[in-house]
Amino acid sequence: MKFAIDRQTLDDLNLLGKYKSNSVFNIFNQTVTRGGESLLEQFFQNPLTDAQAINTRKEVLAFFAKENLSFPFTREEFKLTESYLENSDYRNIALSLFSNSRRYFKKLIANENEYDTLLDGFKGTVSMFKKLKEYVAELSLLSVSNPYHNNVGDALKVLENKKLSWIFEFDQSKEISFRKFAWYDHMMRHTVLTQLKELMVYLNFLDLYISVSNVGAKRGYVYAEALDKQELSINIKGLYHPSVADAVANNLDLNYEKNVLFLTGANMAGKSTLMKSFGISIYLAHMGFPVPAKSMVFNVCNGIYTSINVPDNLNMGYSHFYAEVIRVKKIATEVASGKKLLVIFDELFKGTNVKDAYDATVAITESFSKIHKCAFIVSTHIMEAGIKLKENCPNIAFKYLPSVLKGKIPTYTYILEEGISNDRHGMMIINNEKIIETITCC
Amino acid sequence: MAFKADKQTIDDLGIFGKIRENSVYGIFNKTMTNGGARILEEMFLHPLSDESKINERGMIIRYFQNKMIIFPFKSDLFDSIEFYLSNTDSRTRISAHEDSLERKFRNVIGTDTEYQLLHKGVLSVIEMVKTLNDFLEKLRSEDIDETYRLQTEAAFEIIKSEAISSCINEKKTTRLSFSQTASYDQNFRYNFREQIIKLLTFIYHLDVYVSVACVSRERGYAFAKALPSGENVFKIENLYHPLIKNPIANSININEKNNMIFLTGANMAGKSTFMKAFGISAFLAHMGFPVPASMMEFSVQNGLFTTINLPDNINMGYSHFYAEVIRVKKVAESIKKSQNMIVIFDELFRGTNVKDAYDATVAVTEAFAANKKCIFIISTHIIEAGETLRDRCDNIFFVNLPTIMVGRKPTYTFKLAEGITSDRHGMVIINNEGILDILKNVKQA
Repeated sequence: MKFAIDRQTLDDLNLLGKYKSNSVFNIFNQTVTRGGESLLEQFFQNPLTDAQAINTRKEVLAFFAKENLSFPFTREEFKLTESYLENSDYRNIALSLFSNSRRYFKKLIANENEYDTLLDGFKGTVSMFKKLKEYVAELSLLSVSNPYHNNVGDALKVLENKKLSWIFEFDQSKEISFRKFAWYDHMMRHTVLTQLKELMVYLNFLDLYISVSNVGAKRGYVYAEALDKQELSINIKGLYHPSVADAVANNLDLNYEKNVLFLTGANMAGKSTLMKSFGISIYLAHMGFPVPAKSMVFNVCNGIYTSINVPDNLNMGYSHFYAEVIRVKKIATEVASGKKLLVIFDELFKGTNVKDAYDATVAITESFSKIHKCAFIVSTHIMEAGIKLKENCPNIAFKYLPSVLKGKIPTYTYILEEGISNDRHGMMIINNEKIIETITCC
Repeated sequence: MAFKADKQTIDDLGIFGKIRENSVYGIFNKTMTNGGARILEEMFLHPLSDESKINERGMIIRYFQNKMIIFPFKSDLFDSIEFYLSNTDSRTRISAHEDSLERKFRNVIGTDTEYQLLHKGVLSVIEMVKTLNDFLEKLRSEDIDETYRLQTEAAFEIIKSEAISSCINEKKTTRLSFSQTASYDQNFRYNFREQIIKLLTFIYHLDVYVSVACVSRERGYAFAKALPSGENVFKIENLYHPLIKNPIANSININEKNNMIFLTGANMAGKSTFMKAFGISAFLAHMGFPVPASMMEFSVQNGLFTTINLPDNINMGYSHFYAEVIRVKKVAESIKKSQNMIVIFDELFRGTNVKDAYDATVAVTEAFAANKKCIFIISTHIIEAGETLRDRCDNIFFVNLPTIMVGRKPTYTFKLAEGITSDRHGMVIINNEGILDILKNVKQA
């Protein structure tokens, strides 16, 4: 089953987007090869929903992180080979010979370098695969106990194919005659092309694994452990947001008994950031990727839905409220379909008056909390809603992000605390500024 | 004392606007001359706080409107006059002694452009004086408005003065002799320059009156009657927003016993529009201009402060709340200084939690309500604040803009109703969508 997620969620969490700065995709995109990058895109678009698959990928990545390997080729080297192999529309040796002689002729009479370019490509390809063979042999020894050993084995099998053996015996330092080159060129770009292309794909994966594991290692991310239980359980320690500088870490724990986290706090206290980091980690964990946390154990879910940045133009009024209602309805339908989902609601119904927002938040949260299969995080600055919910719903965990007044300026700890926020700094600021006195003295 | 309105207020009401055409100034800016546009802008920049001056201007515009007076000049006339008068370099002065053979020769072959320009300028001024004279004679022969007569008197005096009256008898010529030109030029640009400028200013004002009266007639605006300040009356009937298509009119009556309006209503119900319409009318009325309403009567105030479009970026969080607090403080300080003010607050304290918003709204509103000299309009979503204030203050007038549910869709009347609205359409919409039912029917695994 495909991991369920929609456009709004992807945007809320800023997951995809090569051309968006700060997108999670860009954090991990340190790939050298074009193919590696498009594989990464595929990974991002298809999180896994099978605990075993997740753990396997996680182990592969962890292996690379442990060995601290780097990709054996530079971008230029790889590109040279790639473009050389890509120009391979030769059907037979005669045609190949013909076009090569034409190139050779051009070089002789018109000093054009098409022939030389081709020769360089050929030589580069030879040395790349020579180097690759050594590298893979080494990798094979290192990866003995890792699931990646199978992939290495496959690659090795291709490399040891007899058809390819001439490549490894070829001496590029020697001058090569035109006739010989035409023959080799044909061999390389026609006879063994399928095998070579297979190896190129293997290299793309290698690039991807190395780049992701390096990012994880450099940033000190951890690999989450996926469980395959029926019951909901997510436990994250030291969670933080990957694109916030000096992010503060928090622990989150959601399970069957406490499947709702009700988050309160002032506007700048970091509610959205915490919710986003939670969403991002869940998503990355389902890809088997390293997550920005100290440790993470989770039960595999079927999808994630968020409602964080529903455009909050107050002038739109009811239509904005209506948009939010429609969003909640969509998520409710998904939840009701029996999937195990993670749902994040940030500041529900902020576009309407307090009474409605209070009623709606209480009613919606209460109904959702009955569905123990799914996990919910709901944030609001209507603390009053939290107090009401506390009476009826034993399975809601109440946490808040505090703000501390330093002199006249509120500061934030960004550390989760038990309970419902009780920060009333509004009146304090009004008193500090002596507003009421100013008004009454006139 | 000038009527105070700060930048935030001017922006909130869209007085000048980002796009001039779509602003209050743009509505009235139908002047024929650049000078008229300049005077109009001045008027917008400096509304009046003197009852008699306001009424005077109102009377004049009304007189123009009733008489359907048309601007009697060609607008390009003033471009050449302005250009001519702006040249004060005394070396360009034409002197009669210079009427040499050489000059005549140059004139024949048409190279003396400098003289040509001056000649044209002189002719333009003569035409202006003549047209103005005819216009004033005609006005004065009919029943002229008394206030305006005083203004025409001054202009008339200048025209009849010795130096200038000679133009009136000048036959409509296209050419003056050199010596004539020289003597007029001497008078116009040097000896009686001030008088000419006074005439110009008079004409520019005339232009403004004509254009404002014309706009008012076309749009069916009403003239506000200014009452002496102090009594705190603000009565307006069928008020609407001048920049909205098919606006719906509302009436409101504010007096000392009801000097605070407490406005509630759903988001799209038209709260901001009503507040802006009110602000615009108050502003125009203090300029002595016609207002988009059918009747208006008001005691003159010393200023207008609005807080409608404070940048409402929720992500700014506390700093937005802080900005609101500072704004309230500024308004309070201004009231302290100039006393009679009109104050409009749309959705105060939306950047904080309910409890704080409620506390702050109640505290601030209650404190303001103790001031009976000002006029306040305050809107909020926090209905409870209204209930509390109803018990504590007796001079608050509670109005609301209702929402009516037609099937599943909320519709709005945009008509003010008395009381506090308890519209709870939020839950209606949620129930309509059946969200809670969807969740209720889930089987637990």
